[in-house]
Amino acid sequence: MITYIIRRLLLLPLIMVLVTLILFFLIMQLPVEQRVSVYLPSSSAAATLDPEESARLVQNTIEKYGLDEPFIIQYANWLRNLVSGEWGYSPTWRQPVFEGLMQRVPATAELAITAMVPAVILALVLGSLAARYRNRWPDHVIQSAAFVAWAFPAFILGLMLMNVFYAWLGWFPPERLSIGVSISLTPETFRSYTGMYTVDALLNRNWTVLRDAARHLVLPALTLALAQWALLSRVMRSAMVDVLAEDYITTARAKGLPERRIFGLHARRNAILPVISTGGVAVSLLLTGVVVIETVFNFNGIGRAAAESIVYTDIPVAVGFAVFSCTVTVMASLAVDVLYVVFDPRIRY
Amino acid sequence: MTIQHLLSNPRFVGGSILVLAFVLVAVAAPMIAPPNEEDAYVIPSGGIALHPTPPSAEHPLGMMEGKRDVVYGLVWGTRVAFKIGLPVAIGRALIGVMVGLISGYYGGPLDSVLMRITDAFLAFPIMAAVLVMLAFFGGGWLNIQIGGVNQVIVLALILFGWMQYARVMRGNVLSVREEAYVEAAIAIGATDRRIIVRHILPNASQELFVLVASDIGAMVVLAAMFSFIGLSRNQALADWGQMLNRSRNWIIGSPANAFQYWYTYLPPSVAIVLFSIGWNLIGEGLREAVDPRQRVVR
Repeated sequence: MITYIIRRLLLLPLIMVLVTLILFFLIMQLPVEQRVSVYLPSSSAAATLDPEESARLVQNTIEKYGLDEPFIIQYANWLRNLVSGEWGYSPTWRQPVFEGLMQRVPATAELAITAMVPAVILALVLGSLAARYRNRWPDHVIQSAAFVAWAFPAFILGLMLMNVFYAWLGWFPPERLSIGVSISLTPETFRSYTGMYTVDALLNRNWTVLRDAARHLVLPALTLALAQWALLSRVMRSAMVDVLAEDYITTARAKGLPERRIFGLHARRNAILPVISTGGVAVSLLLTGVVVIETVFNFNGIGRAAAESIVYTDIPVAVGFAVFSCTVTVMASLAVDVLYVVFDPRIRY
Repeated sequence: MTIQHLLSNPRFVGGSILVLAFVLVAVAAPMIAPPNEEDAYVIPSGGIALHPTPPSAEHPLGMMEGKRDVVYGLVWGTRVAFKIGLPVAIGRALIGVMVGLISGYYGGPLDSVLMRITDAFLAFPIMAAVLVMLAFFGGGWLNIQIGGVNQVIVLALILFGWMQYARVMRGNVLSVREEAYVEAAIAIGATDRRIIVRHILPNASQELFVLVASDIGAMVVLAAMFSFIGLSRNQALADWGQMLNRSRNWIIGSPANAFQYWYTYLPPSVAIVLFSIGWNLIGEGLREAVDPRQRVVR
């Protein structure tokens, strides 16, 4: 197993190179004046307003970074910058892209974790429950719920939830914190450890912030979780149905094992494999969901920043988000492959 | 997979009825909502109004701000939906089938190269791909609105979405190539083209139809999502996603009634969901017909 994992790790840079090549091919379709913006390194560079001076700066940058060189050399330069954390300068943020993205990652991570943990657990539990009572009422209820949750696009669901739970009932407001609470936060009274408000509030023992941050998380996390739950519970159900038809389940029944043991030990462990394989799709769905849901709920994370980058044509941020999400996807597929080997009782290396 | 088989499948029939209703609306658009501007895909403005106007006999679903009729947007938006869903699904299928065919049929190093490229595209999240292409070309020469449809989105969804078709096609080619009848065809000297067209494509077509059907719904949802998060704000297009984007200002309602402006966001939402459910049902019906294991035991 260890050699397999090492071999899989060695493949990682190759996939990253291929993915970034696609991205760089797109970048190269831009006129050189626009491509410069990805390279402009500092605030002074982009803040220059004098047209003559900025034209000279563009010309200098083209020469300095060799933007008229052949494709491969430019790609190598660009990749070197990426690896060293120089992801360009965002004109709308007035700040380097990498720094700006990293400031927004904790918010998105907080949202994603809050949504994914219950979604995955419920998908495993309800998915196998549906398979156990196949074609009886619990199955029909769960399957219908999954169908509806899957059919409702995140942005529509988000709007509806906001309409009911914010506009009408006033329970769960959008954004990350209420204005009153966020003003009260000063570096002296509230130390930022992770950037995730709920975790930081726990560490600071600040219950007002904890309650407020949790209240703001409910709706976006619910919206994000529903689609994930629908996807994974359907996979879990059909995997469970397949496994329950296997000979070894009949054998287990024949030798008189209690049903609970058959489900828990023999069936669920094998049925979880297709769910793991769905991890790649789930992560792709997560990235899409994060962009839309953060936009709907005005949640200041990396997804909303990505959506704004097309509204303001902020090319460095768009590229930065693409690099970020490609990295996440590639890492997720690595995790999927490793988990698969760990969980599959048949694969032994 | 026979026609009777499909027609006895409630999912397929239900989905077909839904989709057929949308087709009728799209075809009859000029009759239901006669356009009075040169671009029919821009919702005509009936005057100046900062707030939406509630439903009346003349405007059954009310009007958005600027006195733009909601029904008009829904009706012409149906055409927009088809103009996104069909080209994207067909474009994906064409590229994917070509790549899969070449990869599976000729094999060898060409196969490895094509499959590595497919892997790389698979690792590229569709969200990031479309975002990047929109940021790059959204304001440029590629941003042609043909009949209310942003062609950058269509192109991006095709370019970064053909991989599943390629994989299905390649798998099919590999399994069919081993069949005795293909060997027989080769033995009697059939050309590559004949083998591909007569023997391999028909075998793979069922699975491809399943993918196309579910893609059409999914792509319309995705495209609506991109217009929702803030595209082409300059014109009031008859596009369900953009109508929803405009309705965001009214989602809070008024202090007295949170649902006061329901007619600005509910109708386009229902249209998007029904369109996607319709195609999903067709896709699932087809899948059950193709794969007997999936059939519901009764």
